[in-house]
Amino acid sequence: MNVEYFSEGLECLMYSGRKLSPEQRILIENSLIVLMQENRFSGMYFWGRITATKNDYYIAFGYTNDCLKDRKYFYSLDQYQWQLLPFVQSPKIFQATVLAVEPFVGDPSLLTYVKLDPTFTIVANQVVNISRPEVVKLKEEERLAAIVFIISEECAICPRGALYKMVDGRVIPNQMFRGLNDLQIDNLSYYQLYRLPRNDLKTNLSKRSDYNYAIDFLDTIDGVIPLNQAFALNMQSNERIAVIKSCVWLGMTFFHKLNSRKHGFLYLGDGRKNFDLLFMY
Amino acid sequence: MDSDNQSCRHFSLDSTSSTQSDRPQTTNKKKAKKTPGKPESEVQISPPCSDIITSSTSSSSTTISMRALDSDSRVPKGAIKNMILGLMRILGKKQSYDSLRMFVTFNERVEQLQFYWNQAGFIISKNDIFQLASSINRLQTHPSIMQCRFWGCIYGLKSSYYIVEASLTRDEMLSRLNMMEDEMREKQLPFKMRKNQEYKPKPAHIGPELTPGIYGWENIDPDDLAKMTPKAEPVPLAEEIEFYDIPPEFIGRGCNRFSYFVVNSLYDDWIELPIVTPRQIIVSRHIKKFFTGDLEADVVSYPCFPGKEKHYLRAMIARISAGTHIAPQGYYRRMTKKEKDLYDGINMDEMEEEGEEEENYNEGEEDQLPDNDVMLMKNERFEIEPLSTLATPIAWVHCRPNILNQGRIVWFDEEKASKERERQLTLYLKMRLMEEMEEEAEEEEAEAEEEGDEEEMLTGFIHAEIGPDILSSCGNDMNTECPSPWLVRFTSKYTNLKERLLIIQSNLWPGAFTFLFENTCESIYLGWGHKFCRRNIPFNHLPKVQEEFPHGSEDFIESTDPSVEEELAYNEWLLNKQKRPTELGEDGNEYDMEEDDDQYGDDDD
Repeated sequence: MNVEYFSEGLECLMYSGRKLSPEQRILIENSLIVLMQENRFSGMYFWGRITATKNDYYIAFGYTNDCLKDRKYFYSLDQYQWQLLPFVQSPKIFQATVLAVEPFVGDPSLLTYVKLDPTFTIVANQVVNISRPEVVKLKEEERLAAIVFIISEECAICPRGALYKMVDGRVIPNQMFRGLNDLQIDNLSYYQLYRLPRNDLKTNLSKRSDYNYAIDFLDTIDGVIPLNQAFALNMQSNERIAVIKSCVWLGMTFFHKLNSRKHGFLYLGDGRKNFDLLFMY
Repeated sequence: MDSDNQSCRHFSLDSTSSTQSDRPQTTNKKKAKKTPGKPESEVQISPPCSDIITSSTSSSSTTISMRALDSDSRVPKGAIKNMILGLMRILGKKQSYDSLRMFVTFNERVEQLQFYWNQAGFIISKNDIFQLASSINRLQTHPSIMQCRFWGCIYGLKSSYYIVEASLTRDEMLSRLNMMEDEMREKQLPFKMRKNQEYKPKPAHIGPELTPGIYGWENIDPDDLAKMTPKAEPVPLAEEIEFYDIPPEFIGRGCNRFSYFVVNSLYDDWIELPIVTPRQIIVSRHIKKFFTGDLEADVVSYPCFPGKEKHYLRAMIARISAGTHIAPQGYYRRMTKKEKDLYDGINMDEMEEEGEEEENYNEGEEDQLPDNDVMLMKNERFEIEPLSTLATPIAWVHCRPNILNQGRIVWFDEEKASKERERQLTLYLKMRLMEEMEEEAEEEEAEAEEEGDEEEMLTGFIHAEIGPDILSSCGNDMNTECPSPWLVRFTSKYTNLKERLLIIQSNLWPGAFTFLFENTCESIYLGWGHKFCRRNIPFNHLPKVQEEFPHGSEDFIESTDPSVEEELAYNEWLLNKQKRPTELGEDGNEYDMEEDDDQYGDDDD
């Protein structure tokens, strides 16, 4: 959620049931403005909070040039000192993060050991070799970075038209974006995933008749698997605010105000994926 | 319509059993005490709840005391004088006297609480909360509602539920109890004893039409048809299995102590949720579903949930409030005996005279089982400790009773009830026999009594299920899945140390919060209505598909199909065989015939 309209955004996100206490709100807003100026970011966003048993993690990100590619994530335990989240590349860490079931503790240097699933390789015809499950050392800071990456890849949302692809390939917030109108606002195909597109450009363009190269390059959320079950869209406050909640990552809430450029997502949760989703409809 | 009817059935009750163990004890006590001089009233099987009802309204409460005047000769004269004075007072008021009004059950001030919620960082919305306050106010003016408080929000996929917890007035509760008891008594009866058994039509014929007269029987004379008996076996019919559920707790007791009202949008009228049955609680522990926001939606699950979404919602509310309503130690206290009697609806004036007896009676009871099903009172002498000492779950206690594995708060002896049913059935059958032949019946009666004695011996060995006590510490909460069930947070770490709130949030039920500030402590739930699970919940597997009809291994023998070449060879051989008899004559023909029969059995010339 953009720091530009922080308080207003929080008000709109109240439909998730949680928000920040006054102290937290003031601390975070001010410290993020300072952080933005120090790093010369052109945009600063508050990402959310991951509940841990001792101290909660607060996450924020900012960007300088390209709001999809060079996002920089920060975390904070005390809401005003922000540390850079490491960039995780190793697939083992991601695997371990998905498999880790223990709650976050709130100590970034904490080491835990996670047992990966055993791997099965076909050795010969109808002979399968089982390797022993590998044990991975998982630092909580890396786990945090991985879970933040996964969550924002899977369910960070922006309305169609909010991001604009320049001729040189950079993606920037669309200055001309004036919000979705009342015909579009309750339609899932007008919301896009806030990540680098995974689908082919042609696939995304061919989905709609009024396609626009600069806008429709992102994946829309109506194609997220499980279809029609991954997100729940509600209209709130006299049908003037669209609130989309992710059913896969419970706690991720997105809002968009009708006919205004204000939109944002916030994750307030414990970093747990809802694996039972398919049984719950 | 059908589904509506069904839901109504669920709404009321799904279960059966003997009511005796579960009836509010006070009424039993009262009855025993009120009618010492009138033995005939005990003998006749009058609806026992009439007694409770009368005690509630002013007009009939007078009749009770009058009766007491007549019968009780032991009461000294001064007491009688007092009583008459009290009577006059009650009559003078000419209003329904409800002792429940004297008890503050809930903190009703929504907007005041909203301030704290706002500080604590969990909240509905500023605009919504005003509407909510007005809407709750509207609900409160309803004559059958005593007090209500905002319980919380449960999110649904299409819309969320705002939930209000309400305590009913005694009149309302008693009129409901009355209906409920009749129904429970009906349900408890063994199937054979039920009077209004529905006639079920026999199922329509399934499978090929074997009945003469439909197809292919046109040429046969109808008179012959009437004489015919079908060779095929009749279609098997499903037998009715006797099945009794554990009975739900009475309204105003246990899980059904409060009633809950929900609404999707705050402009609408509040809808009351049905009572919860133990079966619904048990099944809801095995499933995890999203709420849709539609109360009448089906809950598609395995094991099959007995009811609609409103029943599921009600079961979840019962479980969540049992698990997450907490308060610091000493904030609540148990009721004293006087208050308890007052709460249970015994008038003060009558209580004074009977005080001694009741005390003895109660003591005897409490020795047996710690009473979990109680209403707690706010402790007037509670003094807040510094918040930092309370920042540990050990200093907090549960203030709602624990729900047993059975799905009830007060344990129900199912085996005893089943024996009770058996005994009733034998009695009933005996009665029938009596009508037919009197002599034999007497012998059977003697036998039945002997059996009864044995059963009583056996019941001694069944132990009641015991859960954690009400007001037990949160520090003792054990869960194998969740290592730390409670999280403690302050709203302010650095700046406003004097006015900060303490928040305790439940890990087991994500979304359940309790805040404490000076003398205000409230719990609220804002979440999806899902219990914590470590990774995924172990759903029950579906049972194996039933066999349509049992068959042995010899019934179907598999064989490989002949290939094209084999078929061609066979045809050729057949042709050869047809040609050969003309050439060879009769001997060869016979020989071939025999071989044919052995191999294939169906080929002839």
